[in-house]
Formats: sequence, C-alpha cells, structure tokens
Amino acid sequence: MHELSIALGILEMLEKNNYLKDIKIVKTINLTIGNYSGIDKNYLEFAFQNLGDNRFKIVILDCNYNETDDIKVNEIIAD
Amino acid sequence: MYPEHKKISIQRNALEANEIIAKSNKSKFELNKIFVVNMLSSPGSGKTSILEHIIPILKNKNIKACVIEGDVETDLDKKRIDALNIPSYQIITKGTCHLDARMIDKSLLNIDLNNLDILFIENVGNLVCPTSFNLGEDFKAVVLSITEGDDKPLKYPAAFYKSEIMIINKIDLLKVLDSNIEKIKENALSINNNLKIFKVSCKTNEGVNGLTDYFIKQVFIKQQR
Repeated sequence: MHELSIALGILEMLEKNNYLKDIKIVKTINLTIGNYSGIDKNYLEFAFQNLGDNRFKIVILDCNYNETDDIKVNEIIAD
Repeated sequence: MYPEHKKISIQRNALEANEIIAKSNKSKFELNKIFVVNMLSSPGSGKTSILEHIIPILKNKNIKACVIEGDVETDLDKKRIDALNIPSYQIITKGTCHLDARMIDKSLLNIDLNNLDILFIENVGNLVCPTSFNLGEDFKAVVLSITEGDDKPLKYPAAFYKSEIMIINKIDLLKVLDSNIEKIKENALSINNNLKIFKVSCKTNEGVNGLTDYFIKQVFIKQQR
C-alpha cells in the first residue's frame, strides 16, 4: 500500500512550500493521476484520512486521469 | 463552494520530495560514472538468481558491481550476493512495499562509489508500488517469470511502461507449462513499444550471456560520457 507513502510525500511537499500555513482543514485535493502511476484513488483518500493529521481527516480527492505516469497536485480547497 | 473556502493553486509533482533526493543520488552516480539498474518484479520471479548468474561474468571482465538489496524482512538475498564476493548492502523495509530515494541515499553512505562500475538495486518484490519512486537510476528493468502468466503486463502496466528492459525468466519451464512467450511479449510491447526484451533461464544459462553483454555495453556507454 504505497498510497500511504504518496500521501506522506504530498504532505511533505505542501508543508515545505508553506501551502498549509494557517490552514485548519483541507477539504479537497485536486490531483492529476496518470493511468501508469499505479495509484488507486480510494486507497490514497483513505491514506490521507488516516495520516493522523487532523487537517486531512475529512479530505476528499478530486482526480483527473491521463495516459502518463504523473502524480500531480493541482489545487487544494481548504478552510 | 462556500465563500470562506480558500482555493490554493499548487501545480507540483506529488513526489517532489522524493524527486529532489533521487536527483541528488543520480548526481553521485553520474560523478562516479556508475551505471545503475533498478530491478522490479513480483516476489519469486528470480531477480536474485539472475544477479547470481550475471555478476560472475561481470567480475571476469573486471567490471566492478555492487548490489543494494531491498526486502521487507531478512537478509537472505544479501547472503546469496555476499557469496559472490562483491559489495552489497541490505535495506530491510519492515513492511514498506517499495524502496524510495531517501533509503538509497542513506545506503550510499556504506558503499564505495569511487570503486564501482555498475550498481544493481533489487527492489522489494512487488509490481505496483516500486514503480512510483524514482531512485536516481539510469533505468528500470522488470523481471517476469513465465510461471506468472502472459497477462501480467496488462494487469500491472506501470512496471512495464516505466522499464527500459524486460527480462523473461525461467524459460526452461516453457516445455512443461502452457505459457505463451509470444503473448507475453505482445502484451508487454502493447504497454511500452520501446521495451527491450531478454529471455533467460538461470537453470540452463540460456540467454544469460546476452543479458550480461547488454549490461556491459551500458557500463561502457556510461563511462564514455
């Protein structure tokens, strides 16, 4: 279940680049997931909700798919 | 959407943190002109057996090889590599289903990069998870044994899409199985038309020299860059 590592990687990227400053709760993450990335959207959503980080406890993933191996975070919607 | 919600544009690679470390690993390999192969497969397809067969040939040709072994538990594979009298390093992931760039970065502290021509990274046996994580390698090699079925490339496309070569192992069993090697090739090429395909048997040694020659050629190309 590498989706947990992907979720942790996204969290690290968001933290390092200061996107989570003053954010209390992340409601939606919009992602582009390539069909060759080996990612299952439902597992990734479950991984975020169970990271132990309350900001992601109810997060919903909104995914676009393409014919690549990309895993890209496009946008977050947060309070 | 409620007006109090903030929309924050990100537009970044989800695995940016891993990519940064992978690039650093790659710089170290480039500096020392080391050719690096990330080997992927299901458990039991024969990654370690293939290494046991090609490394002695590399040694005879004075090509210095090293293996990083990735396993969920045990150093059994490392012990098999140690019997070949080459340097090796074991990463035990304790449940994690793949290697990532940070694990490789740490393991490089234990490897003499100045004295190496080729590094094999034997990833955790798993055809899904390791495909997402760049380690800084030159290319990925996917190993598929014919016992796994000819539909494997279609069921696990990412591993075949991202690999430069596919090694079909255990071809000595073709005579007793219903596997269709042409179907395996056709399915793999439908995912990645550029895939180079090698057929080997670690029982009969068929195809082992051809595969080893290919790696030797890659080492020379790397050293001439």
